[in-house]
Amino acid sequence: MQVNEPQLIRKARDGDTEAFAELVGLHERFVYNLALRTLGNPDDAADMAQEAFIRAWGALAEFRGQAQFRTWLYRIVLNLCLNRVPSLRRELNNLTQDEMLNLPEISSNANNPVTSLEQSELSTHLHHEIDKLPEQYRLLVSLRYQHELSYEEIAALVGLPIGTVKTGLFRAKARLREALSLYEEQLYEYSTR
Amino acid sequence: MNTQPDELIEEALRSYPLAEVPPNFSIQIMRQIRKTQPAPKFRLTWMDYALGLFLCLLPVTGFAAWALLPWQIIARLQYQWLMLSSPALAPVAVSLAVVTLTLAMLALIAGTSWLIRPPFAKP
Repeated sequence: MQVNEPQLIRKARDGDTEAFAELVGLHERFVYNLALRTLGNPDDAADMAQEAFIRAWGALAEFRGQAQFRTWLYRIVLNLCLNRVPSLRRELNNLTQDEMLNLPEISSNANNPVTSLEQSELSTHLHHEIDKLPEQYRLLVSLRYQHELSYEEIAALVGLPIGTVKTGLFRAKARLREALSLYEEQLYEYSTR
Repeated sequence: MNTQPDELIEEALRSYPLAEVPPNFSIQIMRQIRKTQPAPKFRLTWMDYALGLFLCLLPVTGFAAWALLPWQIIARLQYQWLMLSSPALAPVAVSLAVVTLTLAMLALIAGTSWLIRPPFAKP
């Protein structure tokens, strides 16, 4: 059955808790994951996500539909997370555009025999590396790839210029490239021992 | 499989899985919301106004119809009433009255339960 989100929002705004429960069901996974990737702790993430939905319920009258309901929810949960972790706001602000110029160039190891490893194994390793990224990069990566937001949406959400968002994502990928390169070297050394 | 690192990273980022929400997550949210929810405010809807208007117009219309009917029709109605009141037709009249009353009661119960249903009632 097709879910009519605007209708659910209208009903919820009129006080229909059943309609709001449906909206929670639709978005809980994304809101929880955004909090989880930002905070890195499942218990804190669950608390923040719950708090975000409760605040959203209280502020539904203010939602006029200019933005997508999803991004409106993200803004609420992100503000809560930024209040919980003030250092994250500082780290995000430190992602200035000029850092792009100083990014390290990581050489491609296309000729390295280790690159023939099963792609899934490397993917799994990279997923662990994504978990280990600093929180500001983890947040940007999550918004871009898990929540599939555009650069503009991310910039509006975190209150940064688009260029800074791109820089942040570029640096996150550079770190992953570095980690991948290191992993491949280790595997190569291990295989030649 | 000689995939370039950038492609691998893009692929890993895109396939980065979403974590499952904790069990009873939405139930807990809704429990808290319902706990803090104020009692529904008394609010008149269009149905209340329509019903009020209908009930007001009903006796007025009945009175006006009776007053404006031609005497021939009134005489005919009185004659039919006398016929219906005759002992020979009593079983038919009683049966019809019982059926009509039952149907009216059922309609009243159904209508009332729908009309005075509290908004967004919870089981």
